[in-house]
Parts: sequence; structure tokens; C-alpha cells
Amino acid sequence: VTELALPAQRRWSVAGLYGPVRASWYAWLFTAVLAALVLYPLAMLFLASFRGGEEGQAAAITLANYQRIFGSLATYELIWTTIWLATVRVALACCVGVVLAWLVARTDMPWRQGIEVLVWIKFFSPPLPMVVAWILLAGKTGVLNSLLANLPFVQGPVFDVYSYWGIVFVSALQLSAFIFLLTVPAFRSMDASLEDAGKVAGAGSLRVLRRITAPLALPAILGASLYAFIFALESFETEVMLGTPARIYVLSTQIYVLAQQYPNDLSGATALSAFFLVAVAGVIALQSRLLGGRSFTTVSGHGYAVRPVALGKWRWPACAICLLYFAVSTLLPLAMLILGTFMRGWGIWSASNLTLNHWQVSLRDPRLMAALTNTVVLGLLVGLGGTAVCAAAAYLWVRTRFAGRRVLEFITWSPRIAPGPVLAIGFAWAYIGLPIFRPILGTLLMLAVVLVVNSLPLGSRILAGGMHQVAYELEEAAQISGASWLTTFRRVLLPLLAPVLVTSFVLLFLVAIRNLVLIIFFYTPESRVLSAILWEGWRGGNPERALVAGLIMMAISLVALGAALLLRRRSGIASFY
Amino acid sequence: VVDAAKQEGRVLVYGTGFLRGVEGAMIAQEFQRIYGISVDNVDGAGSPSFQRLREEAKAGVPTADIYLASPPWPAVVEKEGFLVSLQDKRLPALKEPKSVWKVDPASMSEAYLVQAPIYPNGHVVINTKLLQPADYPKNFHELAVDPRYIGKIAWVDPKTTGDVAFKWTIWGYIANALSLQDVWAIYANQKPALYADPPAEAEALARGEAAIAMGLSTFEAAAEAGAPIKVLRFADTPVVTNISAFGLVKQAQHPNAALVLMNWAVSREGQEFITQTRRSMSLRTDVTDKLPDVLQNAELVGGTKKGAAYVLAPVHAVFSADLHSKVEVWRRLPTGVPQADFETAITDFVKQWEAANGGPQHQAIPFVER
Repeated sequence: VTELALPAQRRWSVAGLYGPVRASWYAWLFTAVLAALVLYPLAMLFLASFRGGEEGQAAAITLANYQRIFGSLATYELIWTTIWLATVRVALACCVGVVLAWLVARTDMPWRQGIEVLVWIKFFSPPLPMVVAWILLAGKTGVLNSLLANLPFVQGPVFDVYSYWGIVFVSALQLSAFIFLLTVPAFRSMDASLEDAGKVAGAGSLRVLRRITAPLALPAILGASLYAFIFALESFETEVMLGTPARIYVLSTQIYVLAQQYPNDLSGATALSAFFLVAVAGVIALQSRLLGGRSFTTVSGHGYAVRPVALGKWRWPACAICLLYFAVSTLLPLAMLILGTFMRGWGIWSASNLTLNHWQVSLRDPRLMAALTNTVVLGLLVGLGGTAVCAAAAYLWVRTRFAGRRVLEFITWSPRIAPGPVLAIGFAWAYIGLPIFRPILGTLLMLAVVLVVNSLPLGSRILAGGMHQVAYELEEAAQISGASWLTTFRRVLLPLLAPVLVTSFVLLFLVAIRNLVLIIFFYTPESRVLSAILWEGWRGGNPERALVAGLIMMAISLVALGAALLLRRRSGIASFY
Repeated sequence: VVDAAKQEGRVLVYGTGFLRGVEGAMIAQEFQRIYGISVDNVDGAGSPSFQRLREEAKAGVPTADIYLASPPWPAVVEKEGFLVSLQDKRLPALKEPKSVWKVDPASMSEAYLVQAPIYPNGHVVINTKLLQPADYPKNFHELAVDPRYIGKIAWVDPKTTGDVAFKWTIWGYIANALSLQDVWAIYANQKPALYADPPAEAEALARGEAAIAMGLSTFEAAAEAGAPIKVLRFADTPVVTNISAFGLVKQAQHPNAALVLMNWAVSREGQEFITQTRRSMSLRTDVTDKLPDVLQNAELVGGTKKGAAYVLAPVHAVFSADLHSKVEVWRRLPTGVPQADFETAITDFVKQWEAANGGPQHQAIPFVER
């Protein structure tokens, strides 16, 4: 196992294939276009953090914003709370997500495929309504406390979702699905003969798991955890909804307030966002340090065995635990969501409160029907476009000697530098004024451009992971056999990457149709999508109709998942990954 | 103008207000039925709409025809120069006698019109399951100092919203019914449940997490769904009503259609339809308000005489926004701030602001309440 960690990988030189000059101009062009799309808005935000005076006015360059923000003890309290909350959540989510991934991908647990679909359903759930569902379930006056209050030995509320543990619990459930989806591929493509070798050498199941399986999956687990950590640092809805009543504040809440209030303090918000720049840089450095120089190759010319680990008497208990996870993380809050669409007022428990009106009105609303079509089109555009762009970026930095590959890797990370509300303002500043975008302003294509840029960190991480796993010898063999680069790419690499490309498409499709914070800056009536309807309903004091839009979004996600499953079956792909 | 508007065929509104939700769609349909002009809108709340408008204006590609919002945004957008002066525009409704207006739509600015009064403020909302009539508060001061209300009040968190500064502007600065000491005492002594924004506060009250919510918000739907909610109005306490306002965006692509919509929305015909459809307050004296029962049946407590009624002046909207964003001490209320520091910081700001704005500005715009 140790020998698998090869000191260095051979990379194909793009220059070698196409000649030194012609070879890399397109790679540089691609990098330049991405840099313009990503770094230009971020540079504008960065400059704003050095601006004195009010937004939009000519002002001197100053460090005063940083002094003001980072000279305050309160900022460090916020940073500390943000970091420890993110750490605890990711640690818990990692435990749950990785165990689930291992059970689904590496064992003979019953209903594995079904459980995988259930985790996807958890991932589809609209985040904001799910948080409110947890308030209705586990708030002091929530359903669970009301039920438990009937027990003779229970005094007062047992659960209080407005607490540190409420935040940790609700967001760890969401993050665990995310970590599951990112780590299943690693477990699935692991060569079982390595585990067999361990057993032959006398190691018990636990030792094999600890010494062979876990180290082999470590890169994927680490990658998923670090990404989830950044995600948790920037998370906003859960913290503001559950944290405010408990006087728990995090950086993202503060940044949101500074960016949204009037007069807004964008200089302060962007200065505070510098923390995320440091965090992302730290994560990239940590990832390089921990994983650098190691090989993650699992798809090679040798083939590999996929034999599930026999759980024996633990098969059904393991299945029961997975189902319990689904019931708690998804079924309970989802039931509240569905129930909410049949209530005149969500959370008002009385028989006279039940109604079909929200569905009737929503389904008759031509805007909702148009939004449904727009949502599907947008999802397809981002799924396809995002996967293509991310695949190209990942290919250049993983599988070539392109001189700018480190820059490219950084570019793909950089949308994570600014939290959503600040990034949205940066995009608005940068894109609305660019003549090149004028013909498409307000169209679905404009939304797709914004969302593709936003999807770079996630899409390129997934695809880079997949590309790391494919051995270079396969392409070299094709090249030696006389195949051109294009033929090699089309006939060797593309089929091997098909599962991860499908995964990327599905994930980017789903993330795009759920996005809210960027869409509200760019949509028009013609490009209104379901998440905009959800937002309008939520803000307009009609959360029940917002929930209808949320559930329709989930239905679209399920259809997308079903289509991906069908594609997988028809094309003979063993799994999504 | 109408002929040109029909040629334009459509109007796009940034903001929601009377065009919000299914009721808004019905209003848009009615307007289209009369004039053959379609209406659509984009909801971007205050800040995102403003940012969009600004970037589009800077790039010379405005998408919106009308900007519709609540204070302080109309005044902000006007100050930035994104709205066209309406003084020389043909808006026949504005030529009607002054007596038809509860508040003259053109009284606040040359660049925007008041479309409707919204959310009268001088009330608290209670959960009747958690608060018996004998315990109903009689005024804001009692809420702030009476130990009976410890742990029973829901209010917003000043770290996440400017609503507390806004409420103090209305109840304290204008109406003189809520002192700074009372605001401080509620946070310091009464252990209020804090929420991220007024809608979250309203929902928590409806669920029974708190007994008393400070101020009105979106309670109507919950009340109609059977939530045990009642509105209390304090006797002798002025009620200050917020407004929804709209203006014509510079370089609008459908300026005539926008003018026709604006004129219709303040005309008797338009107000009648909007008020009936939205069950809202009207701008006009010749149109009957159609308020939800929970507001219509607000109980007067602490006396028998209603306080005076006003609408919020633009200057107060900007004042409250500045007060929140520029005086950091609000944000220390939830975690504790010495009373003297709190009062001094706000009093100093108010003095400076008044000095820069020509003296005290306590007077709001009188409003004919029905």
C-alpha cells in the first residue's frame, strides 16, 4: 500500500504534442478568459476594501477599513466562533458521510443503491425551508417537544434548535450528504485486491479498514472535508435563522448585514471577506502539503477487483442506521415542508388550517410554469457548460505540464474567496458594465455564465479528483499506438471519465437550480426561475407558496437524477463516479 | 401618452410592493385588461435592486422602467440621480383636488410618488394563548420595565437588521412614545427573544415562541390561518405609517407605459382595485380601506383615545437608516452595553444630524386615518 504513493507523476506535455508555440496559446487563452471572468469581479471587491468614503464616490486608497474591521476585538470573536463551528460541523459530517459512503460503496449492505438515491434526495432539499422545518420540529414549541411533553417524566422542552448544537446538528446533516457524494467515488473505485492482500497477511477487518481502506480513501476524504470546511465557513442561512435567537454570530452573518444594509458598508464587508482569502489559501496549501507527491491512481491498465466487504450479522443493522439517518435528516423536515404546502399558515396546527389553495394557485400561475421551463434550461446550460469548462480546467492542471496550471488551479478556487452576497455584488459590478455581456443581460444565458463561474470550485474539484485517478499509462499506450491527442482524448480518457462527468453534470445542474443569491442580481421576468419564485414567495410573506416552488425544484432534481441513472444503465457505467 | 404606452406594450418594475405575489399578478392582469399593457416585476429586496439599478445606469443599459420600494430606498435612488423628475409629466390623477388624498402622492418628492400607506406603526401584536387580557401592556414604557414581560417579548436583533433604529425613529423620535432608556431596558432587562428580521419575529409569535411582538409585520396570513394573534394599539400614542413609493427610471425603455401604470395606481379606479385585491390601506379618501380583520379589529389599550396618525417623511427614512448604520452601539444591545454609553452615542448622533439638517425634525406628515 505504501508503495502506491509514487514520488511523481508523468504528465503529458501539451507543448510536446502540439509544438512549443502553438501548443499552449489556447491554454493561456482559456486561462485568461477564466481569469477575466473570475478575478476581475474579485479584484473590484478587493479594491473596494481599500476605498475610503462612500461606495460609488471617488475616494482615496486607504487601509482604514482593515484597521477598523481587524482592530476590533469583536471581529476575532466572530472569527473564532466561525472557525470552531465549521470545524465541529465538518468533523461530524465527515464521520457520518464517510461511514455512509463506505457502507454504500464497499460493503454488502442491503438496499445500497436505494440508500444512495436517498442521500441524493437529502442533497436536493432546499436549504432555507429545511432550516425553518427544523425550527417547527425542534424549536421550543416545536412538534417534537410537544410530543415529548406528553411523557410523564419530561419537564420543559427537550430540544432547542436555537443553540450551538442546533446549528451544528442541522448543518452537519446537510454537509454529510455533500461529503458522502464527494467520497463515494474513491471508495467505489478502490481495488479490493489490496484489502484482500491485507487479510491474507493476517489483518482483521478492522485493521484492514484502518490501515488499508481508510488511507486509500484519505485524499478524497480530505478533499471533501476541506471543501466542506470552506462551505461551512461561508454558510449563512442556518446561522442567521438558528443563531440569532441564541445570540450566536458568525462572519457570514456580519458580512451579509454590512453588504445589504443602507448605507451599505461594502468596504467593511470586503475587508472582512479577506478572512476567506486567507482560509482558501490555507486550504489549498494544506491540501498540497498533505497530498502532494502521492498518487491517487486507481484506474489503470491492470484492472481492479470490486468485491464488497461482507458485513455478516451487521448487514441489516447497518442498513437500519442508514435509513434512520435518512428519516432524521430528510424525511422529518421534508414531511414538514410538504405539510406546509397544504397549510394556510405554515406551523399553525389546526384542522381548519388545511387547504389545497397554494397548489391550485401556484399551478395556475403562468409565471411558475414559465419558471419551471427556465429552471430546466438553466440547469442544463450550467450542467453542460460548467462541466465542460471545469473539465478543461482540471485537465490542464492535472494532466498537462501547462506552465500556468497552478494559476489555473487558484482561479478555479477563487470564487470561494468571497461569500455569496459579496460575490454577487462583485459580479454585478463587473459584468453588467461589460459590453460583451450587453446582448445577453437578463437572459438565461447571462444567468448561466454567472452560475458556471460560481460552479468552478465544485465542478473542477470533482473532475480533478476523477482525472487524478486515471493512470497516465493508458494515454501513453494510445499515443505509442499512433493515436492523436484528440483520438486519445475521445477514445480513452473520455470513456474513463464518463462517470465523473455525469456526476459533475448532475451536481452542477442541482446547485444551479437551487442558487438564490446570485440569481436575484441578474434575473428578469423572461429569465425568472423557480428559486426566484421561492425567494419572492418567501419575502412576500407567503412561505407556503414558496414551499410549492421548493418542492417542484426537488421534483426536477429527482427527474435529473432519474435521467442520470438511466444514462448510467444504458451506457453501462457501473456507477456515477 | 396612453397611445404611446400601448405601442410600448409593457412595463417592467424593479421591486414588489403592490405587485407582490398572486394578488400582484391579479392587479397586473386588471391593468392589462384596461390598457392592453403587460406589467411584470423583479423582486430584489432593497439592496440588490438598488445595486442592479446602479450598475445598469452606469453602463447605460437600464432594464427597469419603474423603481418601487419602501423608504429609505426611493430617496436613495433619487439622490443618486436614477429617477426622472415627474413635475412636467402627464399624470392626470395628480391634478385632482387635494381633498381626495389622505397623503398627497407628490408631496414627498419631485421624482417619486407615494403609492400606498403600509404598515401603521404604533402597535404591538400578542399571542392570546400566552397573554391574558389582564396582562395586556398599556404602553411601551410598561413593556420595558414591568417584570411581568420578562422573557415574553419578541423583537429583532439589531446586529442583523436596522428595524430597531427604525422603530425608535417612529415611536421615539417622532411619536415620543418610546424612550432610549426603554429600548435599552427591553434588551438589558426583559430578556427578549431575538429574531433576524420582522417576518421571523412574526412567525415566532404565531408559533407561540413569544407572547408579544414589537410592531406589525406580516401577521395577516397567520391570523387568518387560525394563529391566536391579536393587535393592540396604545391609547394616545401616535401611529406612524410607512409608505410604498415609485418613480420613473431614467432612460426607461417604456416610459409612457410606466407613466400610465403610475397614474392608474394612484387613481381612484386603480386604488379601488388594489385596495380590494390586496386588502390594504388606500392613499385616497374616496376609496375605502379594506384591511384584514386582525388589523381592523385592533384593540385600543390604556385609554379610549386614539393617537394622531402620520406617514413617515422621507427625511425620517434616511435618518433611521443612517442612525442604524452609523451608530455602532445598536449592535451591542443584544450582548450588553452600558445604558449611559448607549444613550450618549445616539443622542450625540441625533444632535449632529439635526445640526446638519436644519434643526429638529420631529414632525411627520399628517395622515387622514379612517
